[in-house]
Amino acid sequence: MRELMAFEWRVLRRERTLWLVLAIFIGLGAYASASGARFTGERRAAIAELITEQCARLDSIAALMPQLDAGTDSVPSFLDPRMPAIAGRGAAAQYAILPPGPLTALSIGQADVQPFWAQVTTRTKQTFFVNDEIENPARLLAGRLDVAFVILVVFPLLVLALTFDVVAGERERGTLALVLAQPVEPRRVLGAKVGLRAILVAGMAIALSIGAAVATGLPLSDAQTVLRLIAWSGVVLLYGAFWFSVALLVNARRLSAAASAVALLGAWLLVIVVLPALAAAAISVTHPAPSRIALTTQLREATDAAAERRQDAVATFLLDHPGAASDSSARSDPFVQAVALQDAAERTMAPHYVAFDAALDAQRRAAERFRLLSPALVVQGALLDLSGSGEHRFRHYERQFDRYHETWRETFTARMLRQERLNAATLAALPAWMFVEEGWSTLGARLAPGLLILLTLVLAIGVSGWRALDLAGRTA
Amino acid sequence: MTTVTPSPLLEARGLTKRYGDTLALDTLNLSVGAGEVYCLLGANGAGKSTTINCFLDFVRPDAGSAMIGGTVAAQDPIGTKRRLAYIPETVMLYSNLSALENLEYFATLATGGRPVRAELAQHLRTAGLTDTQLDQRVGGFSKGMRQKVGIAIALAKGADVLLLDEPTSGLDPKASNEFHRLLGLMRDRGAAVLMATHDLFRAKESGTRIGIMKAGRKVAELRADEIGHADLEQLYLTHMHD
Amino acid sequence: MLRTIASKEYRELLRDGRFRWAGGIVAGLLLVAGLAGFIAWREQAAQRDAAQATMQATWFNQPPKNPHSAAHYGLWAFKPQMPLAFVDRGVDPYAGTASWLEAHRMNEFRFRPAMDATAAQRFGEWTAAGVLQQLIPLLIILLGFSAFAGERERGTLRQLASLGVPTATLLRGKALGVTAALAVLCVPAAVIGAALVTMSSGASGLLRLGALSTVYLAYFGVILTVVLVVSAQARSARAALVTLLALWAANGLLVPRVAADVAQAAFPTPTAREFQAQVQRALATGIDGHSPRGARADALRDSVLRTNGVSSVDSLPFNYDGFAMQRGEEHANEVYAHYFAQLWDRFGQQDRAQLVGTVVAPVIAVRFLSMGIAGTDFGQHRAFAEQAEAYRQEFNRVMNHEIRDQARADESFSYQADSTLWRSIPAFTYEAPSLGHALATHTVSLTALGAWLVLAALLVRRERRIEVA
Repeated sequence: MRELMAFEWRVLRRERTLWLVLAIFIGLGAYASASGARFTGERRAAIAELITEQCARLDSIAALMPQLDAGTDSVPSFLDPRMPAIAGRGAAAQYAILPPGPLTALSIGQADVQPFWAQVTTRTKQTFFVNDEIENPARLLAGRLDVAFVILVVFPLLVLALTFDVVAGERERGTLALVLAQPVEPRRVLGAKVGLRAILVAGMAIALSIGAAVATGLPLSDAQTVLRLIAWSGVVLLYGAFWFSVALLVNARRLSAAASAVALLGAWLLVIVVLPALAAAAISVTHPAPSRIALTTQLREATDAAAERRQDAVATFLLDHPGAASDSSARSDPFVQAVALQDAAERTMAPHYVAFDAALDAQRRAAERFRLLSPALVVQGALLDLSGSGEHRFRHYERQFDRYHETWRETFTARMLRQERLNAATLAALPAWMFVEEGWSTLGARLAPGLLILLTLVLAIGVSGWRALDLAGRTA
Repeated sequence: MTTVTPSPLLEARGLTKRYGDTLALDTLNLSVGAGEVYCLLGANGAGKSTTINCFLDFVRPDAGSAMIGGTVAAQDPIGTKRRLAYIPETVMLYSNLSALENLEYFATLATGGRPVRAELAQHLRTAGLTDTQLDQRVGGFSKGMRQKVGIAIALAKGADVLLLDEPTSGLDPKASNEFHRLLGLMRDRGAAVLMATHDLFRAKESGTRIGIMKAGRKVAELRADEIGHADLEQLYLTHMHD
Repeated sequence: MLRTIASKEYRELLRDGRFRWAGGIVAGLLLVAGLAGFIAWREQAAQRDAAQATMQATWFNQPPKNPHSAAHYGLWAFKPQMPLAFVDRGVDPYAGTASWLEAHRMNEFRFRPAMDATAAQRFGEWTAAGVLQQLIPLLIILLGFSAFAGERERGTLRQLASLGVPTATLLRGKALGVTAALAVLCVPAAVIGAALVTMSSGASGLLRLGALSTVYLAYFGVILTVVLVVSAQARSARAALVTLLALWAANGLLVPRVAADVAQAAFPTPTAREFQAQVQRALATGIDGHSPRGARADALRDSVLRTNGVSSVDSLPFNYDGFAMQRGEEHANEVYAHYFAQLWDRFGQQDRAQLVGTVVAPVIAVRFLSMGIAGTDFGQHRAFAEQAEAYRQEFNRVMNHEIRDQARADESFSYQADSTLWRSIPAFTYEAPSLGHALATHTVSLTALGAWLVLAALLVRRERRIEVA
């Protein structure tokens, strides 16, 4: 068997197809890696800028505070960082940053449309009013040529180019007769041809994954990154196996090489274009995205309604937040009033926000279900999730942000009511933002169904294809 | 002392093959012994290639059996293929490989072991290729050169049965002559040769016996030395007409 | 003779399983894309219009309050849907849909629809424009790749040539045949599109649809010519198909993305943080950095006092706070206008840089033209942003002038105005740029497409001799 594979390799490597495929593969892989590395580099630089600004601002406030206390410096009252309302609203505000995912350099995914930072303040539901990063919309429309794109769209074509004529090639070359006249089981010859190509495809899958990881400068000493990379390579391998098994199935139909090529091209279009189009249309129609514009209008009306019954809002707020230093001064404190109004509006809005989040979550769950229509979508989802640039990690970030936001607001509300001023020590003790990645159990639970189904599909198609494959194609 | 006729190396008994409504082979009986060259003559579609395909187990007969050295091809395709060598009308090879590399591949397939390159090179030389041609890519080879590689495969295999399909069609007279020489070589080594051909001249020159097929049946069989060239032609045309 | 060749080609194609399958699937996708797009478009349009009306009502129905408070209350502007946006969504999913118009600050547009869409939709969703730009060319390739190469392999080309059929006639006849086969698909689609457009937007929409159809027809003509020329030159039908598929993949998948990368590398844009910092700096210290806020305020006060010949602001014949706020507002407006214009001009430079890729991939020019005609290119997003900004400046001015003219010196921020003031500002309406205006911003794309057409015509003329064997 080894000799047969060696000969098959010799024949294959003397043909142009193999080298063309490898050249395209390597070229695109290199470009995609560079593109991804550039993206994460820019992202990290932007984050570093934010942290620098935050540190500088907090340091200057920490330096200013003792001077204000001592009276050696003064600022207008609406800029005094010792006032909890002022500090919480902006002066001491921290950035809640979503760092690029572990493998984002390989798959930029949604990371270019999703915000990755927000300044946490005591203002209202911020996950709603996020600020977008500056990016030319036409560029977002064009999309990115990242490694995931190469894998999803180009890699199948390359696999098909290598495997479409496993059987027909021998026949059309004319050498089939001579091969079959030898005392070898045709299946052994076939096994060598298929086996060699399987090794090539698997090699390409792994080489691209690891090569791209190295080229984009991923921290290979970090255990989490390595684990994700291994999972990533496994998914790519599975995807390659899928296309390989489809090629086997088509080869088993004993068409001419040209007809096989057309059939496989049709399969590619089906999996990459047609099925995802149907899935996307299904998601849009069954679970359209909830309207942020409607929510904005509702918020406006809620704020207006709260303002109309200002005193009620303040009273309710003070009831909910006992611990005011003095009720009467609290009632007349403009900052307390502002927070109370905000609170009242949010109470009205709460069911709307819940409905909004629920609709968004329902859409994402529906998307996970509709992904199963196409192996390309299943693999895309897996690659995005593993690289940390999909919508799930973003939702995870939003939930953490919401909790942090709550904590932040409570801290400042308490201080404001107790009329406690901040100083450098309390400034340093403010809750800090720390983003926690999703655990493997969550990730695994989400990815497992699709990948298992794909695996089953691959095995089913592959085995039946291999069984039906017949080099001889005798007509008796 | 009674001479025992050794059992024929190549034998077809009552070989029948049907394709849909057409009867490609109709109870064909044939036998070729060691050192014999049997030339099968007939028009296109007479069943010559189907006969050969039965021996190669490319096609399973509906009735009867094709036997190599007493073993039915359909029952032991691998075993029977070990003893035979097949040279199709056009020997198609891997164009990007050299003659030696092609031979190495087929010889490996044929013998299951790792053939010695020097021996293979010798076979190619015996078949008539020059030393420079040994390492040339066969993409540029003429029909005759390809045929020589085919013969080298037969030599490397040490096959004692040779199946030839239209070997001299498309060969110029010089190459045709070459082929005749090589055929003699194989015959002298004791091989049984079955040759399907249109070439009446070559059949009489190289063959030991001649069989004429028409519509799947053998309509005539005679020894090559029993008849002259002109008479052979007459006989052939007569059979073709009715 | 032309008709004979064309009708034979047409009949052959229509009977071909290839055309039935591929054409059917593409037609199906076009239908799904168009209809799903139309349904979503109609709902979005209704939603936005309703929301804008509600917002406007909240402005008009404000209780009596200080004009400056009203300016802070502000108004949300929601970008309306353009008539042909259901055919080509353009950059709409990636550009914000809402902006808060308030005092002192020009806000960015928020709520990119793409942020709320799933990755599966971004990968899989096809608009009608997408199908026209990527899949119809694939169909043309499938229909035409063996037009010459296949006939050559079959041997029929030799027979045709021996009859004395001139090459040009052959080319044109086959082109006509393929076009006719395509029309079986495209004409019903155009009719359905026209019906939908008329239903929703009337005559102006039809005009745009006509312009859009012309652009796509030109594009298909270019593609068809390339396909036929490659078929005529290729060694075999298989070689023709492989070449054309490679060209299609490069045209549709690779070059546009690479061009976008190159454009962004050549003309980088600041991060949101950098932009904010720039704006804040300019607001504090003036655009040229030489007039800090405090100093500016003092200089203004002094000059006003001098001009009016009084010694304190309370003696001025108008409310100084209102006056100063408006001046401050005007300064801020200048700053914002400067930096946003710079940013948006950058985007324009990037877009034009992307067009360099048209040399290899005509789809880029078609993409920009299609967006421009449908009203969903960035230029038209910018037009909306600029009109919203103009409206913001207007109502801020009215509010500030109300204080300046009506409020006493001591009641700058306690003076109350009521709905007569709110209603004195007409509702915000958006006037979309005309089709001609939109096309004028895309002259480079138009030129590029025109150049491709010329190239196609030249290629056809050059094909005097086709290898027949």
